[in-house]
Order: sequence, then structure tokens, then C-alpha cells
Amino acid sequence: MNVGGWGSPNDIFNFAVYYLLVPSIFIFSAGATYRIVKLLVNTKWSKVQKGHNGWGEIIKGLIMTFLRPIIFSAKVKPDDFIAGILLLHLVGVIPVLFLLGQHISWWSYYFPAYKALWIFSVPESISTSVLTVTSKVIPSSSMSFTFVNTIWGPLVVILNGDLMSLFILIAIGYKCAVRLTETVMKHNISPARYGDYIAYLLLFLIVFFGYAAARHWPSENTAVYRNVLGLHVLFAELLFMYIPFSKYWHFVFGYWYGKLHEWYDNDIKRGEMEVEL
Amino acid sequence: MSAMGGDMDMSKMMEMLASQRTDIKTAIKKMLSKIDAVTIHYIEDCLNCGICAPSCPFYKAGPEYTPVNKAEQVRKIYRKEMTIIGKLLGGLANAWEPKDDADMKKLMDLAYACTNCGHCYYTCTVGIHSGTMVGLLKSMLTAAGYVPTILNLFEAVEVNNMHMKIPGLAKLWNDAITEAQNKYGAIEFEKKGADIFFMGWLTDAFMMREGFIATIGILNKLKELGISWTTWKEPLAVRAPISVVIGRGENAAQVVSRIAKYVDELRPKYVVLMDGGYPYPVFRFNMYNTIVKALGKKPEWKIIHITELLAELLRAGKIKFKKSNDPITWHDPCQLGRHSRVFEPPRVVLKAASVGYRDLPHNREMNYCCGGGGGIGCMLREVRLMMGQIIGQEIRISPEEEEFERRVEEKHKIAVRRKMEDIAKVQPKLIATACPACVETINRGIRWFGEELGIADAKAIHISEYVVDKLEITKH
Repeated sequence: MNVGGWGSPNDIFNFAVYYLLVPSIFIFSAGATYRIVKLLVNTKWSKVQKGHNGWGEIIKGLIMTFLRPIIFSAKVKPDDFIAGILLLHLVGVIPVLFLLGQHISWWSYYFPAYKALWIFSVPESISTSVLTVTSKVIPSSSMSFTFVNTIWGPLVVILNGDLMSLFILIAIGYKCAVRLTETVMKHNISPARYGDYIAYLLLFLIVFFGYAAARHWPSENTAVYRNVLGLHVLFAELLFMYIPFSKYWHFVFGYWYGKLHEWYDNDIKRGEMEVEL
Repeated sequence: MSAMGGDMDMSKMMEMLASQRTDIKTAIKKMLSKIDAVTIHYIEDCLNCGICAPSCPFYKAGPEYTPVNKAEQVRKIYRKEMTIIGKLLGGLANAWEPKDDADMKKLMDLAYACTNCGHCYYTCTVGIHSGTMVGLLKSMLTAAGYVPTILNLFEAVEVNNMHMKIPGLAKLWNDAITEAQNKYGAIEFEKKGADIFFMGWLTDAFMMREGFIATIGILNKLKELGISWTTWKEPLAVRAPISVVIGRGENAAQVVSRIAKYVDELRPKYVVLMDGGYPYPVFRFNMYNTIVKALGKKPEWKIIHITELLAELLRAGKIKFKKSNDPITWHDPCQLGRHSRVFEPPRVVLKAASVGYRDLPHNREMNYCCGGGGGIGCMLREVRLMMGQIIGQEIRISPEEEEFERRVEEKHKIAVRRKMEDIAKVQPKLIATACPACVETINRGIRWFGEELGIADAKAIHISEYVVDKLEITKH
């Protein structure tokens, strides 16, 4: 078997890692460049009578620009806050993608400086950094304490790959259920966009196959494992290519541009005038 | 009869307005030509999370009126016209564009259920200003002739500088000016080199008459501090620029340029507005470029609100107020507050004038819009009839537009009720504010819901009206 070589793509893992990676980077880069250039080409600077804002207000404004929607949603749409912000983002995709041990290892391979984040590594399971509590494989750890010894201490009860993957899957399920119910009941608070379902489906598949691969499901056979892990990587690459053409752009650019623009617009540009009479 | 008093009657005016309309396709192209980098962000980066929804005053009128659903109409048109996938897949890519009268009327219903209050901008996860998107939608509708008659009419009156030729309107201005002079002393009109130019609109003189007179009173008292001021003998606009409310940018630029040139000739240091509605952010931010272009340079004068002036004089210890314990609150006009971020000066003034001052539960960035902005407060039957009486001719609209007017009022009532419930929680006797639409709308809300909510004896007023007689000069 051609394990990890540049031969023909004899399994999904091989195809995903050695054949699709470069095209996916190319498509992502082309799409991202197109979107950023489009913004630059259409940029118009306008003059204003700027507000007279102190640094304290400006910094407070920056913090509040990011916090305000989160506080607002927690107050007025708690279900959306729990599913969309908390489960999907804060204890879901963000820590899994950037801090899960396996992912830190992956990031560090391509970007060696990323190794600095090993100290914040999140284990896959509450009881072992290697395999999951639900795995059929007996954990090989000989540690005497209950929790994996990480910087997160008892927080590892929540901050573990097992649970966070489930959070993401539950959140996606909830979001889709709400969307579908709204559409069926003809009571759409936000528009029914087909692209959203593609986005959710891709994320669901990535997490699902990542979860399955981590516990060697449905079989401990290496060939099956490579295909399941391969599907995880393959769907991640599909999503990567889809980013510049979908709502996932917010993750890379849209959210940061939007919030920083809002901050500039509200807290730097506008504000009281200085009066000297 | 020369119905409106000037040399143009209502039917001729309406004919002229009708001749300005274009076909839907051209209107769409015109709207899309206004898109810049920031609007591209507003269009392309929406996450569809719907968190903006509860911030909208029209949220409870139906799910179709959430900010994201209203802004989506522009996104659909953009996808259809500006994206390959939208052109190829149409509805499958959520791309669509209006084709006929029925489509345009549906869009009218959505566009005139937005006051551009900006609340959804602050609550949006990615910083999208849906009010700006609805503004684009309005510009497309207006270009194709889908615009409420009363707004269309008064915009034309303002653009053509005809308002003071209409006896009913001229009388309102002149009477208020006369009363102000009788009460607070003479006004030096069009004086060059004064410290302050008071930019009072025609709407200030008739929708916030007492506040208008009081503002003149305040400015006259400030003369004791050696602060000189002047104003125009006749206003150069009804409430400039009405065109922004219906999305006619070129006309707005024409009116703003006309006013900027006039003011610049007087060479004041400050232009003071008592109106905290859309004219304030338009002159300071949104159309400041137009002013610079019209003058060929940055103006020497600064645009401020009367509350900014008073707050500064208070801080400097030059004035004080006789303190009362009136239960008074401040309603942040969306344009002065969220759109311009002038939150504290009115509070500084009111706290200095009354120990009974209390904030509303929702205030500053999170203030509840009164529901009357964006021209909506002017599109009600009672307002149309009243305006007809003022101009001396009934403003007639088609039965279909009457139906639209009725629907606008239904939604408006829902929006107003939310504000009234918020006000009722702090039980004020006076609700000070600074925007004519807010004053009218809140007083209308008290009429509609005051009894039920226990605020029947409350009253909305312009802030100047409250402080004028309490004002004392402390340092000469």
C-alpha cells in the first residue's frame, strides 16, 4: 500500500492530503483575493466633521463593538445565543479548530511557530489525551488522576474534543431545525438561503467524520480508518474552497472587517464636537 | 386656483413628479451604481443569524419586517445582477429582481417599515447597517416612481425652494419668528461673522414650535456671554434634505450645496441645529463631502447641536440652570444618538436642570426608536390631512395608496407601542427630545396608549422648551 506517498490516490486519505490540498489552497486564495480586491477597488473615502473622542472611549468602543451583539443575543434570543454563539463558536468550532491536540499538531506541521500554543492544547477526551472515553479501545494511559493534566484543569470537563464535537453537531442540528421549521411555518425571521444548508452540511460532515475517525469508527481496520479520516480532511478542504464564496468568509475576513469598520464608524468618526466659545 | 399659493398648483406638481420616474430595470441599475466597498460588505457578509431581528421597532409587525429580511431584498437584486451564480441559478442562489408593479408594491411595504434607526447596526454580529440597505431599496423604488405622495410632494417643494412661496407654510415660519422676537427680543438676521448660525428648519417652527421659540430665547440669553448669533430670514429648506428620506441623492446634494454656500457666506464659527433628526448626521457626516465639494474647501464652521453648546457652557461654568425636581427623561433621537453618538450633552443639560431626571430603561446605543422616523411619521392619514390644511389644498392619494397608508399606520402603531411601554417603566411627566418626528410620534403614542399604560399626562417636548426659562448666565 502506498502510505503517504505521491502515487495514485488509492484511498480517500491519500487523495485528500496529497492531491486536493494544493488545488484547495489555490481556489481559496483566488476567491479570497477576488473578494478583497473587489472591496479595495470600490473603496471611497469620505470627509466628515470628526467627533472629539478620548482614547478611553475609543478603546471601550472597540471592546463593546465586539461584545454588544453577544450580550444582546444572550438577553433577547437566548436559544440563538446558546446554539449559535456558545455551542457553535465559543466552545465549539473555535477551540476545536485551533486548540484540539490533533489540530495543533497539524497547524504546527505547516506553521512551526504554532507550537507555542501546545501549552493550551485541548485533549480529545476528558480522561486521556489519546483516545476517547467512548472508544472501544482501552485507553493506554497509565495516569493515576481523573483528568488529563492540561492547563485547563477541571475545565477539561467541557474543553475536550469529545464534548465540543457534540456541541457543534447539536448546534448545527438546532440551527437547521429552526430554519426548516420557520420555512414550513412560513415565519422566516431571517431569509431561507440554500447556501446556509450547504454550509451547515459541510461543517456537520467534517465534525462527524473527525469524531468517527478519532474513535476508529466504524472499524479498527486501518484501511477504513484512513478513509474515514480522509473524509474528514476532504470535507475540510471542500469547506476551505467554499469559504470565499459563502458565509464562512466571516471567519477569515468579513467579521473582522465588519466589526473594525463599525468601530471606526461609530467610535472614531462620530461623536461629540469640541466646542470652544 | 393656484392651490398651493405659489405659481404652481398641486396637479402640475404631481405631473412634474410623475415625469421623473424611470423603468424598473433602469432604477435597479441606478441603485446598484451607488454600491461601494462598505455596502459590498453589508450585502455579502450577512451571516443570516437573525440576531438583529428583536432590535427592529417593526419586528413584532411580522417576520418579513426584520432588518435582515428587508435588507435581503437588495441582496437578492445584487445577486441577480452582479453575480455569475445568481445570473445562472436565479432563485436557487436566492437571486431575484422585481419585474412588475406588484413586486414593487411589496417592496414598498418593506422599505417603509424601516426608520433607519440604526439599532440593528449595533446589534449585528458582523456590523451590517441594514438601514443603509433599506435606503438603497428606497432609492430604487423612488427612481421608478414608487414613493409616498406626501414625501414626494414636500421633497419637490424643498428642492425647488418653493416652501416659503406657499402662504400656509410661510405663515407658520413668520408667526413663530414674530412670537420668538416678542418673547425673547430681536433677532439679527443674516449677520456676517456671528459666532453662531442657527439653522432652524421650517419643520422646527411648526412641529416643535415652542422648542423653536425657546431655542431663539436661549441664543438671545447667550448674548450676555458675548456670543453673537444669527439666522436666516427665511429657511432655505423645509427640513434639509428631505430627499435622503426617499433616496434621491442628487436632489439631496443640490439642497445641501445650496445651504452650505449660503452659510459659508455668513462666515459663522458654529452652525447650531436644534433638530436632532437626520439633518444633523447628514450635514456632519453623510453629506459632508458634498459640502466640501460645493465650497471647494473644508468649511471653517463646525456643525453642532444646541445640547452640545449648552453642555459645553455648563462644563465651563458659564451658565447654570435653576434646578427643579420634574420627573423628566431623555429620548435619544436615533440620528443624534446612534447615528452621531451625541449621547451625553442632553443628559448633562437635563441633570443640571432637574434632580428628577431618569434615563429610560433602553437608552443610548440600545435606545428604542419611537417608530416615526424615515418619513413614516409623516405618512399617516391624520398628518396628510393636516398638511393639506396648511398648504391650502387637500393632498389626494389613490385608493391603493390609502390602503398602503393604512398598513403603514398599523405597523407604526406596533412600533410606537414598544416605545411607550419603555417610557411607562420610568413614569416621566416630560419626555425631552430633539427631533420633530420623535416629538410628534411620542405625543401620538401617549394619545393612543397613554391611558392604558398610565402615562396619559406625560408630554414630549423639545429640550430647549424645558431649559429656556431655567437658564442663568453665571460668567460674563
